[in-house]
Amino acid sequence: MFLVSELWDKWFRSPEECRVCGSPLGGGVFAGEPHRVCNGCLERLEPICGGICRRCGRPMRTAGVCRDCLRRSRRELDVNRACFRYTSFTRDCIHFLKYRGQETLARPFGSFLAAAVEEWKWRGDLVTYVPLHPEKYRERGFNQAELLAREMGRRLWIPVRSLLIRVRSTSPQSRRNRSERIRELQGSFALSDLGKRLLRTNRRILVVDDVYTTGTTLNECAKVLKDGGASRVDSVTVAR
Amino acid sequence: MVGPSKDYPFAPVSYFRTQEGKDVRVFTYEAAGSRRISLHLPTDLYFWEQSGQEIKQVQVYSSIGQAWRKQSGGRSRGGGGMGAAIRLEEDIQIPAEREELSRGLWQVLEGRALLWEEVCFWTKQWWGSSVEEETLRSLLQMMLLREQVRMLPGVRTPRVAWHWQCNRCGAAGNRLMSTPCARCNQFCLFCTHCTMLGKSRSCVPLFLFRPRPKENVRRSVTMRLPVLTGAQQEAACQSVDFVRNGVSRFLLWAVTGSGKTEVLMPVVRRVLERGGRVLWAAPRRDVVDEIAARMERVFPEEKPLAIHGERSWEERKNRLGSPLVTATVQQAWRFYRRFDLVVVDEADAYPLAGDRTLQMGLERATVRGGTQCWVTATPSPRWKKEAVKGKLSLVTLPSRYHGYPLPVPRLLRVGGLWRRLERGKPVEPLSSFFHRVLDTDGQALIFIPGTSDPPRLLKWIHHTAPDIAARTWATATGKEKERRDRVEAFRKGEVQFLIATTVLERGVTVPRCHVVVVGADHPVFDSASLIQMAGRVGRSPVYQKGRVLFLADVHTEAQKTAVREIKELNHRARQRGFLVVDEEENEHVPSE
Repeated sequence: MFLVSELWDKWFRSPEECRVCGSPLGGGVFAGEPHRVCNGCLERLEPICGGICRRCGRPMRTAGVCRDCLRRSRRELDVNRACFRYTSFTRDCIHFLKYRGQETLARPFGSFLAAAVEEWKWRGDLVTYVPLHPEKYRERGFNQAELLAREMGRRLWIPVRSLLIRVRSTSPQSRRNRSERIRELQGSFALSDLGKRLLRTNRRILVVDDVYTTGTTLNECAKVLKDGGASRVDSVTVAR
Repeated sequence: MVGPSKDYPFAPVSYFRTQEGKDVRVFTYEAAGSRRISLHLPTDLYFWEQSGQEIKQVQVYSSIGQAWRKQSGGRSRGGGGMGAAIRLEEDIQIPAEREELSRGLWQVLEGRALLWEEVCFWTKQWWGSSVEEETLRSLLQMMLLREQVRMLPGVRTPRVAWHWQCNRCGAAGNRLMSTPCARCNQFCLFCTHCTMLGKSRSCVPLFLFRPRPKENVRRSVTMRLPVLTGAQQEAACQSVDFVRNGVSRFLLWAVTGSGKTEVLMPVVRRVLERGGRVLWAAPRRDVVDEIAARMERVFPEEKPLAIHGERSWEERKNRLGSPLVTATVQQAWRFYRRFDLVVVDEADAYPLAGDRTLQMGLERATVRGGTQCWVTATPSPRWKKEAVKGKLSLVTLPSRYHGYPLPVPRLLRVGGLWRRLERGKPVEPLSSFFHRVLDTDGQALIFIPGTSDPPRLLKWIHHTAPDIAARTWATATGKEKERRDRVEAFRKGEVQFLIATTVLERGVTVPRCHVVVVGADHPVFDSASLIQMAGRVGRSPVYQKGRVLFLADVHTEAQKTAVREIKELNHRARQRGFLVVDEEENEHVPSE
């Protein structure tokens, strides 16, 4: 009896598991990637819908431009879009991916990014991601933004290239206030060799990152890319 | 899987960095007729020079996984995996204070299974300042040579992919994932199953620290325990006997509300008195907290330690060496032959049942010759069969601590139950049950099969019985964020009626409880969960008016088995004379 049930499980696979919380999930074998996340998780992730700031993608009551964006004088990044609100659950998920190293989470979140870009009707040439400093890259073993970008690019059929490098290591952004963040990050990114070769005028580029808080990191990346010759730089993040 | 975690706050550790910029350095060499792995070559040279041996064929790898594969006789895969031969330096000196340090390290880490990052973290915590990596490697290598520790790759990757397995949690197959790794600059495997405890991967070493040889000591342990009842004493004596005889595994079948924790306290005490260590593993965090609080009361001088993901390092810091540990079952993966007695609480509950990786972890946490005690109120049929055949030692505790029998559920069939509820038609047994709860001034737990059912039920109650609907109601299902607060409110008595799914079948105890299972024929309710639900009632000796009612369209095997089993346990308790207040069984079913 035991053997039979075990073989049965082996041949006729049990229903899929939720890619985020691991609980069993209905849905067929052919369900698309966004349908492989259970409703409970989706609810807790709080997808952004309705009114958003048209520059930074912040959820607002009415569409328009948010106060932070109006206040910012020099803005290199054109438009940002995000999938989820930065709630405690979203933060837990991102930390699980980033610091604990659960690389399996890159798949659902990458597909959510792809869905967001699809919905946004973004058209462009290249996808790139926010780089890590080599030292931190080695410590962590992977770059979470790269994993997300690769998954997204694979789904959208857009080439993903590493255009940027980090030349200066900085301590985590999450412990600073706004002005400190801006000061700290200046000059910490540069174009990679590949970036120098690939960037010509009229390139439209999409940068992928995990979280958009004040947008300083992405703005700094956009600055470097535009100096290198990109005509338009947008970004997409998991959380906002 | 995802959840808040205050577990080890890993500071990024400088990972196996060297001056030349190579990331990971692991050596293999041949000495005394076998191939060995080394973290720190000078230590090995010194060691083998002392015993007059020679080291040959030294090779360097960037990943422990490859070195291990080379050692175990397999061929290494390409891409630098062959290992570059290196030249050895002359005259090596090992500082004398390292002896002292290595002894200290063993004392702290004995009986633990830790990844390299965790070892770094522990040493940093223990010595206050961070030890240089070179020193740490040398210390570990010294311990390796003296066989005080075993070193394995986090994920074992022998030549046959069928045998790939996580060395820490034992997960295999599609739970392993191959990714490009910036640490070893190759593809390596990591285990997605135990990532919550830190990433176990094939290029990271896992250290299994052997326990130190134990002196034969006796010490006195003060235990503050209320007097045990006759039934409890009998069970306790049997359990102590099993531990004394070194039975490797026994099952304690104790009915709900029998005081099984108290029964095992004398066993715990016996092990502690002989200088042993005890692990009390429970499936859920709130159970761990509860048991830990009880331990604190019973053994105040032992400084019991509680470990789970939400307890931060600061909370456990002062009690790391405690011989009495309460933890979630997953934490057992972090131990290696450390505990003489492992108590597995609610051994049939969700994460443990059918999960071999957790069972392996518990097995590995037990010392050789130690005892595992599986505690449950609802053993699976397989265990019962094994117990009957004599393969599994069994202790039964068939009566509750107050001597009242278990309340027997009443099965009621209502044709088209959900249809009636949806259309707002009267369901006589349900409304009379609610009125009875009101009359006896009790609280009620209403179990339903699915998360989508509470609105239907609430609507029906609003429609048919407004006076009951006016009382305080709450729902608690698996997906809701406020579940914990609502359950807490129910415990305090602020909520009179709580609608719940099977998530609350264990652990909720209120003194004046009634239970109704609406739709008890649903397949999510197996006999074990029905028995657990019925066990919520009559826990307090002063309030025995609680009723259990199973409402369903049809009588299923699960319901019948549950009733049969409860009756059988009552019968057994009566036979052995444990029932203090022996009422007729039928007394418990209201005559209507």
